[in-house]
Amino acid sequence: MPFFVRNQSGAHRTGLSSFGESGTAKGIGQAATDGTLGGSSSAGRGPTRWHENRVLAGLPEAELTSLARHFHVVSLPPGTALQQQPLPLDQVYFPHQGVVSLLAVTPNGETIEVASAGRGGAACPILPSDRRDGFLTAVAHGPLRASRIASARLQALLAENKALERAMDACREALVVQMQQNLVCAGLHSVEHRLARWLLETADRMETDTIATTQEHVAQRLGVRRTTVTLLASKLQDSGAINCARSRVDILDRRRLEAATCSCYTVLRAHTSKLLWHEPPPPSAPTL
Amino acid sequence: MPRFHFHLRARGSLHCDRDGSELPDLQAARAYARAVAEELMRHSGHATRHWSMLVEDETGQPLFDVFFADIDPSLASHSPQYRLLAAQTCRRLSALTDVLCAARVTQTESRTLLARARGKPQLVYARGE
Repeated sequence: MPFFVRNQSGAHRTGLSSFGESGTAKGIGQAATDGTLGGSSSAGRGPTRWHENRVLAGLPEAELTSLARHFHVVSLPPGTALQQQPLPLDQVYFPHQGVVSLLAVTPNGETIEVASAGRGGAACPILPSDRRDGFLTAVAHGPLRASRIASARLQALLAENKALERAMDACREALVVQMQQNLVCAGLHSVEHRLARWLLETADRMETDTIATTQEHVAQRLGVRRTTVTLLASKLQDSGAINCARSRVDILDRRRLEAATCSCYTVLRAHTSKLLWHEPPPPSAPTL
Repeated sequence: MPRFHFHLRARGSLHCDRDGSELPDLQAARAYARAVAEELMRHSGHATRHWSMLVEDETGQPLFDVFFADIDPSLASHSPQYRLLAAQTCRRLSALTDVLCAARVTQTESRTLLARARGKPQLVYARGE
């Protein structure tokens, strides 16, 4: 049994036995370390990797070079628990591919997504106390490749790397803004709206219109039962916005899906684009 | 454990729960259906008021219905007459949805039969499968 599986009080509360897509989620111990980012061990692959995460790519060249030896690139399968409460969130992840989802888990094993970060951000402790107490659980969404650094080490590096400090402030603020919006959305809006919004935001962060996920997985993010997601996804599919396969959701009509979201999607998008200057343009915009 | 399927009737369509969920017994299925209905109704105002849920066992045998109007907390503040009207409308709509869905199945089957009779490729499949 994976180390983070919790004892479920209600066996019918489906979708909580693991964070994995296949139900065989792995712990951090099974992480494959590719090597030091940009360092001599990954010579030749380094230069392209910096630009995969736009926070790192936005740093000045000199600062980036001095930081390189502190980062490790890790490749992790979908559903890997990067950090499991009650352990503190003592690592910072800069995704190159995939999304890191920060979840809150109740003592009963119910989960809800607090915030998430893709290539345009970083999954980092939000409060100083997150480095000491485990409130959040970080889970890889989709196959994850990310630059990892110990939070304490990053903290020590901030003093002499001003651009990194500014970037980290923006990343943290982006997570807080997401938390605020998620609170508004979960407290006031219907699950149907939240599902449409989650699909769009995840697609934006993964930078693809095909989201590798299961309905069980989505239910864990939204804090609802799997059946609720199945029925609402079927409704969205009937409208022609999405197509649901066994472990994949394809966004067929972005505009239609946007019409099915609440105002939170556009509000958050506007907020985040101001914060993270590395955020990609909306997929509907023409790309050069 | 027996498997139950929780289908949703909403705006003239039946949304099927193909995978279903394993639950200990009928009582647990009733509680689960109610919990799912409550999640679907949460913060949705009157949009879901006339929805209903059809629960089937693993053989496709209908077991019971959950009419959202019966458990909608937003109806509590209305007069008993209004609540009765909502409950009746919910039942009529659910019956109408069942008739519509059955008609759609018949239409699909007829098209399949015609295609087969004419020796044309069968582009439509019975029961939407």
